[in-house]
Amino acid sequence: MSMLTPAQTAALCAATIDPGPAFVRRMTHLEYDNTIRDLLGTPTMVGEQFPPEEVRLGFDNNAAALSVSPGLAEQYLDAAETLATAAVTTNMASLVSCDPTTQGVDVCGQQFIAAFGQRAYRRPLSAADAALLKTVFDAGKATDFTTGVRLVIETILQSPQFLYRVEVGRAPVAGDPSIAVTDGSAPNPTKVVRLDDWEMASRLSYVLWGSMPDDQLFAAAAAGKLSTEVDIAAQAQRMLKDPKAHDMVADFHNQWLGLDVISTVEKDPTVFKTFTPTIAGLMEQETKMFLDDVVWNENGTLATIFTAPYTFVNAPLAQYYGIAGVTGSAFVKTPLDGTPRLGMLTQGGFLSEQAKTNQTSPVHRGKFVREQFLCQQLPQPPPNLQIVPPSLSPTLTTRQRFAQHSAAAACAGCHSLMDPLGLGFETFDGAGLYRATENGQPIDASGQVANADAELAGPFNGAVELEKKLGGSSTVQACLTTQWFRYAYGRSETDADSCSMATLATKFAAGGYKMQDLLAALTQTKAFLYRRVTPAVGSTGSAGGP
Amino acid sequence: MKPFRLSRRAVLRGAGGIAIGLPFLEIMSPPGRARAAASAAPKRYINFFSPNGTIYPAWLPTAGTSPSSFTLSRILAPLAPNQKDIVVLDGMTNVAAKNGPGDDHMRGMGSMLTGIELVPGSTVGGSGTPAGLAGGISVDQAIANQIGKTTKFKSLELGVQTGSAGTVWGYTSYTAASQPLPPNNDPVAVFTRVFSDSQIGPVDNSAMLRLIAERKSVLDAVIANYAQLGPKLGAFDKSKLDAHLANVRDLETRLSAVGVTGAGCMKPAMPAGNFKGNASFPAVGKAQMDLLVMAMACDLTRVGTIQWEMSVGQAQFTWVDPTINRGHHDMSHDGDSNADTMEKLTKINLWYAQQFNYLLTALAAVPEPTANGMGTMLDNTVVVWCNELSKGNAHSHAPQPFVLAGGAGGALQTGRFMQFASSTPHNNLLVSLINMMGGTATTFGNPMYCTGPLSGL
Repeated sequence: MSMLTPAQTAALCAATIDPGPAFVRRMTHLEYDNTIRDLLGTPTMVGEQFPPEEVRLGFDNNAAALSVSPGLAEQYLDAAETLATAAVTTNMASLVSCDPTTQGVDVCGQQFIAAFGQRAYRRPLSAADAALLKTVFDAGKATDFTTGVRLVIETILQSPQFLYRVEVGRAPVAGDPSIAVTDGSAPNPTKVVRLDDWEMASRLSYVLWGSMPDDQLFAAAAAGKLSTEVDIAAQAQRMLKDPKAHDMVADFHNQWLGLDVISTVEKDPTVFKTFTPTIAGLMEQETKMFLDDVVWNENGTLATIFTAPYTFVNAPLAQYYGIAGVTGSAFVKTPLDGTPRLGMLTQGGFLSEQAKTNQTSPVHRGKFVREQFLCQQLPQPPPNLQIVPPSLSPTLTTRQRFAQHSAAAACAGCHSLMDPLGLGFETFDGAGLYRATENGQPIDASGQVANADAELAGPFNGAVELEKKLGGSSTVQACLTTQWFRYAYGRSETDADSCSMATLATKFAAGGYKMQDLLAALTQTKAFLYRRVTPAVGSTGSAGGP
Repeated sequence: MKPFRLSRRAVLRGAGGIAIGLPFLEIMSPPGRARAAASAAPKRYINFFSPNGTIYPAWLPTAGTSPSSFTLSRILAPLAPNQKDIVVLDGMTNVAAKNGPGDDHMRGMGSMLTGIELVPGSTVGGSGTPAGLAGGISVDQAIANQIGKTTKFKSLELGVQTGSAGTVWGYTSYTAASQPLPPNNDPVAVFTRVFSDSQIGPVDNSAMLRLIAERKSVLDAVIANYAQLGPKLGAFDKSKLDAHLANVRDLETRLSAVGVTGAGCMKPAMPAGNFKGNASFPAVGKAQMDLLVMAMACDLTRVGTIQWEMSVGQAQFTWVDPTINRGHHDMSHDGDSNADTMEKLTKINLWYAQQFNYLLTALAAVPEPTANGMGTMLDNTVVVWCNELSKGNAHSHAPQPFVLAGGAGGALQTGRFMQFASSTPHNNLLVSLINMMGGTATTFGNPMYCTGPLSGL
């Protein structure tokens, strides 16, 4: 997509205020663990054990996809019991600020319900909310006060007010815009409203932290200080300095780039003699630490991912790569001057994950670059097509063996998009080690990018040259923007989101494509600031909403 | 082996904190929910899935003079010890897999046990239009709605390195369109879920009774919380929360469900061993089969799935043949002329037959009353071995290589090789499975592809 100027973006956004569709969002398993940590004060990995989520568009947090299977409902029950029992056993003092023996069990119980309930539901409780939790407390207090508290926590942790982010938005008023919705996701016309401040606190905290709001966000919501773009931007800047933002960005990277799989990569030990499961684990750590550093310590740009002249290694991994001068088991930021490496795509993680167990795979490497960085989805191989890499040969190079892909018409259609990209990485073997020759012949690492923008298209020689092209490519810039939109908002982009997408692109570009600018921009779009009024089921109001 | 009862770990939590790694308790309670000795044990149903098609000529038995006098094929030869308990079906066509969005693997997988096309979605396959998940309930869940109402678990989905892709390639079982039941790949987690949290035999201690009462109070309030939220939601969001609510209600109805002690219900050991990495594939499979058989012997569930890999799974079957150095799916694309690969794929499918035979033998080792006197759990069970494809390199959906096993409590006459007219819709088989398990179905899946029960079965 072509880049709009700031003036063009402003004009586009003046013409429309459509925030696009917004669904109720269930916590992901990671958000569950994070929220439990912040709510109960106890780190947990219980959510990590829940059944895997459906993946849509590469991410496991698509709001429309997230459902609750019978097994997950059971695990929510089990987790609620385990976590509530642990909380009242080890952490009662921080949960309950009153004394039931002096103030009375009922008074203290109601205080607890109001205070804890507000944090867990992320908004003040209604009278009905409180009354319902009181019935559970009363059932438990027959045993003792602690049991009453425990049952309230068990109830909350399974309730939709906790597990889902349910937004209604502010009550519409006469001046609210009315938009034409033509995709069937809402009535036409539909009113657009701002979120209330409690809902905004949760949007901010889950988008930037993957967790519940902290005390400052709650205080801002209570004070009505989350209503303007300026107030929201100020909170976002504060929040991006918190380590919780690092964790959220790490999860995005893990999913976007498949990083969690690197440590499970297995190689044929007769071919790659120095590669071990330990090395695979270290490679995963290397890329994760690198990306974290690029975003946060360097305040890096998109191009930094591809062109940073350093990486993170410890002694065993440095020795594996043949990098001298690194000692100890701790990872250290290590310059790459004088090595053939530069940027993420010359790290062992990508190079060995996108390879076969006993050889490289130009196909997988090319496919990965095209799908993850150019956002171009390639189809699976069609039936009757042999998915057999050309046989290993003691004399030929991989490039020579793969020549048939470009020669055979049935293959060339797709493989011309992958192989010429992937062959540029041939100076790195299937386990991520540098090689100048293969089977006694010098490596030819020339490549070609077909079907791409002007900065990217055309010939290149070797991974480093390709990375420099990727770092300056408008397609890659737009792709990263799209990936972040999908991850942050938990849905795919729609035609209604043209202003929101243009806003992200403009703000990302303004400072030279700094990643932190893009993160902050996520809180400044129409998609983030507004929502369409959704008429509730059974409401008898006009199409404009309740 | 003594009858036993397992303790709910929460019972032992008391006020002292979370109990960890609780031992099983050998319990002194009398057998609970005692069945009259004369009445048959309940019916059970199991899906057994292996992916990427088979080598059909090496799979197809040789017919004899009657359906019961057939000669097992090379791939099915390991089933010889249980030949009298199986039914091999030739001629089944998955019609739904020829229609709708998705590629051949996706369509085959999603319609294999649902008999209906996929829903449109965002997953791009090798051909066809982008697809989502399956378009309807799978046959095991339809059966669970009949026979799984009272057990502690409505069904158990156990996986063997099925991946975590979260797409239609990865699921066998669905409660409804787009509502998959993800298989659990970790035998230790399965063990913990099924056996450390379950009661076998009657509830006769106050701690357990109190726990059940507590859970009821909590779930009542949770359900009421859904009711409060409902009026605020739009139709799409409400349907999602309603589905969640239905599962909470289901949990509540099972709070008092207990297992049944019986001759075959024995204390399983916590699965031990290395369950990570490609080479552990056989060990994971054996552990999962053992757990499912014991969960059924103790009547903690009556419906289950054993899912090996996923559709397009890439397990490397080095334990079958050390010269195999490519993934299963990659190999399945090789042409018929590649004799080396054909041989290896035959061996892989033969290995799966050995696993199927192991499961049947384990079921047959559990003595149980049947409709015709004393028999085994296998007599009361139907196990369905299914595959999302017929021929891997052609990605075809006919003839589908189905093997049934077990007597279905007298409803399935076994020891037969049945040849149906090609293009017989496999939806008809799904109807028959439901009816063998006590149902009265006349159609299943997309009714356009179904003409009623499979005649002669």
